[in-house]
Amino acid sequence: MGMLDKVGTGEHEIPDRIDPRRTELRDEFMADPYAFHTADLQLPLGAMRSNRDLPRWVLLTKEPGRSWLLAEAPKRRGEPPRIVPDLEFTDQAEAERYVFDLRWKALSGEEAAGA
Amino acid sequence: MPEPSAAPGGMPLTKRIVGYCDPLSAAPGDEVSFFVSCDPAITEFGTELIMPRAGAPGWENSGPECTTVPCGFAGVYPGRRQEMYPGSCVEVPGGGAACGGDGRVTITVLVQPTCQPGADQVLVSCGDPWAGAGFALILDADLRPALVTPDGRDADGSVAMSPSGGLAVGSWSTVVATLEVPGASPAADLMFGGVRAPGTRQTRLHFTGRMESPVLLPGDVSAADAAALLAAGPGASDPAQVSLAWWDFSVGISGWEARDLGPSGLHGTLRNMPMRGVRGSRWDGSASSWADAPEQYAALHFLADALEDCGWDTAFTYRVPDDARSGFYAARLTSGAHVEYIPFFIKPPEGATAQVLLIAPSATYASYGNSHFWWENPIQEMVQDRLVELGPEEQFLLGHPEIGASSYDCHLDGTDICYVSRRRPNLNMRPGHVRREGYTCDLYLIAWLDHIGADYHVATDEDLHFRGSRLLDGYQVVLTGSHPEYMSAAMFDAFDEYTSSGGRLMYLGGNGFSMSVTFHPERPWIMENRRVELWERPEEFSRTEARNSTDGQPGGYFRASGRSTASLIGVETATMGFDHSYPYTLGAGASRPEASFVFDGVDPGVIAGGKIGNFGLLGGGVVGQEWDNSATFELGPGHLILASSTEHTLVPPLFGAVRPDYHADLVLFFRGSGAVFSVSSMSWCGALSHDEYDNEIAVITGNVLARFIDPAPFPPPSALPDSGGSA
Repeated sequence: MGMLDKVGTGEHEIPDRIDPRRTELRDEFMADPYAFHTADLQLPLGAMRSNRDLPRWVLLTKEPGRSWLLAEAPKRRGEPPRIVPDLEFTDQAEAERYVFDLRWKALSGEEAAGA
Repeated sequence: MPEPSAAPGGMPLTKRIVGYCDPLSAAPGDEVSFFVSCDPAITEFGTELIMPRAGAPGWENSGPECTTVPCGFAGVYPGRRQEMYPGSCVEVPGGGAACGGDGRVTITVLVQPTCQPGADQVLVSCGDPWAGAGFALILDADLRPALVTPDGRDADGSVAMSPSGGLAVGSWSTVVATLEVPGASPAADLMFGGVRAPGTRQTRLHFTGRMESPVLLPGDVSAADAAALLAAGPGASDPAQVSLAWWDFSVGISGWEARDLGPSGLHGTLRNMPMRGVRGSRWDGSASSWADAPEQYAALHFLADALEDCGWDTAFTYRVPDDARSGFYAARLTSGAHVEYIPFFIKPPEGATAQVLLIAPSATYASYGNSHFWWENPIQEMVQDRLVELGPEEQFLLGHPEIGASSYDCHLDGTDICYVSRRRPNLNMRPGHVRREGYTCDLYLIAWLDHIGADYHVATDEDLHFRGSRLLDGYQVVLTGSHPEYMSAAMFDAFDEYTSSGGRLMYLGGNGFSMSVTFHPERPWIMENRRVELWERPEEFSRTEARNSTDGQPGGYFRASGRSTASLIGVETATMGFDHSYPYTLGAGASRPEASFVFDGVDPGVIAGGKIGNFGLLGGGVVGQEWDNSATFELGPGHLILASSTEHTLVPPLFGAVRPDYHADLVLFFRGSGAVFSVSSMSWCGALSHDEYDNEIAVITGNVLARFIDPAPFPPPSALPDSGGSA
């Protein structure tokens, strides 16, 4: 049975919380944020990204292809994004890892090991 | 982590120059006007005419490849900031004449607020009382009606409402004001939904919500009598006898005029696209379309953040030379490091033909124009499996909400946007936009066509809509762009007629021929897009306000109007996933002798490996972003599934699947005497330039193009075996 055969069976549900003991999921993400992820990782990633109580993080291009700032998207149209000061990424994957740890802490209640 | 804050210096890389042009598509001899606004720091900018392409190695950082074309407008121009004034309204030139006589006048109107913005909103204005002349009937921050004159609020009149209390969001009320017209000039203009500053094009204090039947009556009229009059509607009385003016928004719903049934015929003009064909106060549930019962759809939905036309002064013009080559063009504006591209298209003169015609999917460009949902809807990060990046274009949108949003977004009151205009900068339609799909991906296709020396012309969706199948006559092959999702019924029928009568169509995209839009004949810069199945509002709106105001046709998926996407292109939309793209796996159809021409010259090792297109600029494969398949309909003779995708992540089923079976199918479809080749994926064209255009996707696409150009007939469908299913 492949991964897709399980969809709709209830086996794949986006959880509300992150289990802090699942450090192997963090390890998988940190190894390569842009790899094809396992289903076990895709589901908590969905939880992290869809949670409406957490800031909606976005990257603002500072120099195309070279540097980015991290910001919270505005909750209302017309408001400015809130930019994290003194933080600039020259590798988007590093920004992914940074945001992953912010969300891990928010949804598990614990600092990610190694963060 | 340091606490985030609004950056004092603003966005790190927002655009400093923006512009648009009109028309979007021009033939030799036509004149294109360009409109430009600059940040105050930009004192001048240079201009040149270019033909943009994309796809060469490293182009993402070096920028699009551009061929400079000599033109008369090349030069240096002064920079100046030009403002945008959103807010839908109705202007009645000289409407003050209706209330400029002796004695008292009663103004009454049916009102349904759809949000409470917490500020004054003008329902009816005559002149500008804040500037010292005229009056305005408003709702204050608490949605209480009030009359504003130069002397203050409610200084010389009485305001009432029925039912009494206060107006409530979502409920209809009758607002009534009686006044001595306080100094309004008979020549003053009336406006519904806002007020205009004297002598300017600036309007402000716009109303968000629905209004119906603004009426001017002589003398004093009680709230009860006014409510009874409006509840009965204009058909129950004689507006020319009982009123000074009675604007009936149920008349001419397909146009942009507000008809006055009163004695003076003071007809108004709609500005900034108030929504028509919406339910009014007299909607009783018995009608689901304005076409069936226009009197039940007698409201206008005013939207304070709608923008139809920036109305900027012309910066420069371009007369298309008689010998101009048809294609993708742009005016490139530069000032130091700041660059703006204003894309447009040169179409062939009427009657001219080439071997190939590419229909640039301008309806889809318009639908996505100035999209905000990338950062307003968290699903986007899930669908693309990475943080959303906001480039210079999005940073401009964040700082300039007055430019308006896209048909994928909602207005500030939650109403799904259903009209979009190209008389404003469309910042998604930019070479090198941070998101590569759509316009930029079509530049990959253009680059490939030029690379192989194809004999092609370019026209737009709008051109095809207004000219119909006549536009396609004479071309051996018609190509789509990478994402022709939206098109009008007239366009759909033109493609259908073309392929049914022997034309050959290469559908080079994904999620195409899906949803119905239309262009307005009086204001062709306005496109209506009621994508009702995907509206954010409750289902009751999708069910009862699905008909285009422009033409009365149903919006949304083409099946609503009895048109079959599957019958036209052999596939239907399946799902989306912007995280990864995939190769196609060759299937049984690839071995059919009728399809052998498709794979001529492809590396035998690739064929033996069974997979094609495991590369590309859009996700690393040819199946990606949005794609289609043949999973839900019977396959007839002549329908060959050449390849299918076989493995996907969880993104498509969790976030985008519109059907249980969401693979993609590469299809060769012999349709009558015509033929269709459907790549069924938005990512296909992103693979054409791989390895310096030396790859199987470029070979396959070139093979099909060459065979489709060849007028030799295909075997009739009845002589072909069934496809035998997918891989």
